[in-house]
Amino acid sequence: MKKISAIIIVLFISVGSYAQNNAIAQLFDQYYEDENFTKVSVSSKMFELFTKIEPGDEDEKEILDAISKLKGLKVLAADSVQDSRKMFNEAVSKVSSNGYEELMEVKDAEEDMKFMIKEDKDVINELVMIVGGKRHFVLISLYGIIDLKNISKLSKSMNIKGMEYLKNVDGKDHK
Amino acid sequence: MKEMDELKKKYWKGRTDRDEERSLKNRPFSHDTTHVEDIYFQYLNEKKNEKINFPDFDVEIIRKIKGQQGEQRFISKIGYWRLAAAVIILITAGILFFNNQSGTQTSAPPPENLVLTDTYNDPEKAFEETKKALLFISNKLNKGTELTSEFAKFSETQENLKKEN
Amino acid sequence: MTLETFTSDVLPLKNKLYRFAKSILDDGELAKDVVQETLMKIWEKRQDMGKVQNLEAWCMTITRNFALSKYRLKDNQNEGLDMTNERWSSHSNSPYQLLESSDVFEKIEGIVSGLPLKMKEVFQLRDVEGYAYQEICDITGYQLSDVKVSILRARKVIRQNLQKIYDYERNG
Repeated sequence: MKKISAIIIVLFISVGSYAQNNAIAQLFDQYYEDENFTKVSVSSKMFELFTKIEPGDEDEKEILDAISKLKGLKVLAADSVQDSRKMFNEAVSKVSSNGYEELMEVKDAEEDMKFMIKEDKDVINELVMIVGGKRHFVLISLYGIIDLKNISKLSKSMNIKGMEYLKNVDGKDHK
Repeated sequence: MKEMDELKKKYWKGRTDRDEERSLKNRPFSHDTTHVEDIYFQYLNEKKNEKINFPDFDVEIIRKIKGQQGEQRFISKIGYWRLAAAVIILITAGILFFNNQSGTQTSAPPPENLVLTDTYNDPEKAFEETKKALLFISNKLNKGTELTSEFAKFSETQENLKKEN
Repeated sequence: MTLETFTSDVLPLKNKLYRFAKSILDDGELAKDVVQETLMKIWEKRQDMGKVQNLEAWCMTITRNFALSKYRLKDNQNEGLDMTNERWSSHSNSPYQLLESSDVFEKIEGIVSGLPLKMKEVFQLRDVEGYAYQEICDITGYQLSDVKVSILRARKVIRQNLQKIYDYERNG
């Protein structure tokens, strides 16, 4: 029975990832040539390689724990676009028409953001986060088995400001 | 005789060892003894000879054991068939589902392209990026959970994850 | 373990297992079922046999477990009797009934089956089967002191009742 359920799970994940990539893939494709965007894609092969990384310190160990069950990551980010709100809305409508469930939405003076997930039997196997500010836009898509608790713990213990990420990405992009 | 009486006394006080108890039980009893204690020791001795008296008990046990072996083999055969059937059904379902999906979204590029292409070839770099992305998500998640009423759903999901792990 | 070793080493224990099960259940038919279940279980667990130090005691323990679960079922149908309860069990014969039976063997049988469960078990293992006290502990899981106290109590109860039979035989 273990074998059967393992095969079923693998098949569901593969079937699921075929389907789920479409909306995200479309958005990536759309901005593929646009120099203003930072695009990051980390494959499941790469995630496998991460398991071989020796954690340097406690923080890295926590990160490695959090990503140990992940299978893929995509980031699409820009910090100086004119129509970021429009992009945000477009991305949200594309993603939500793709069978994602909304986990939460936050709107404040600074930015709008939306978390959307795909669940199978109470396990989150995809998370999409879309952030649209006055000038910035970020879309991150994560897949694999996603432990929100683990992920939310990360920034609490490391105390890194969210926007730093964007600045870093931006810095790299302009090197 | 006197020796036996001593042994009996010892027996009722719980002080006899196994050999002494054996000698109390395995001694020639006269058939017409009316001494209740003697009959009691005789009883103990005969009690040990009671046999499981059901016709073909052994035959039935052996048959059951052999039957069980056969049954196990049968079940494992069924098991493989089930496994094979499940795999076939799921693959078919997967193909159908995938075809359906790509059919409705004609403009979608082959998804494998993006899944399989890594932006970074160096795992260290990719790891750094992943770390940053996760921290970013983490930060926003916490911001969100502090602000929204969706917190309930969030912690519910956490509970489920806990159970799952 | 092959079927041959099962037939040569385990199956011959069946009478001993049967007597033990019957002493707990006071029911030959149920005891036979218990022995069957036990033998099947032993066959299923034949891979573990290498770890077993005392095959006979192991078989007796399995028999005991099956018999006790049946005993509890049976007992639930009558009344809740907890195993440590030293009260006379419900299927005990009254002394009056004892004296009514014609045969002294039957009367003794009645006394024994009226013993509380723990005494019955220990009595069967010691006074009928002739196990050492330590072996009884291994089979039942009782403490050594517990076993000794139980056997002494069982003998006391039996002796008192034998005395009644004796008086009856003399006077009647």
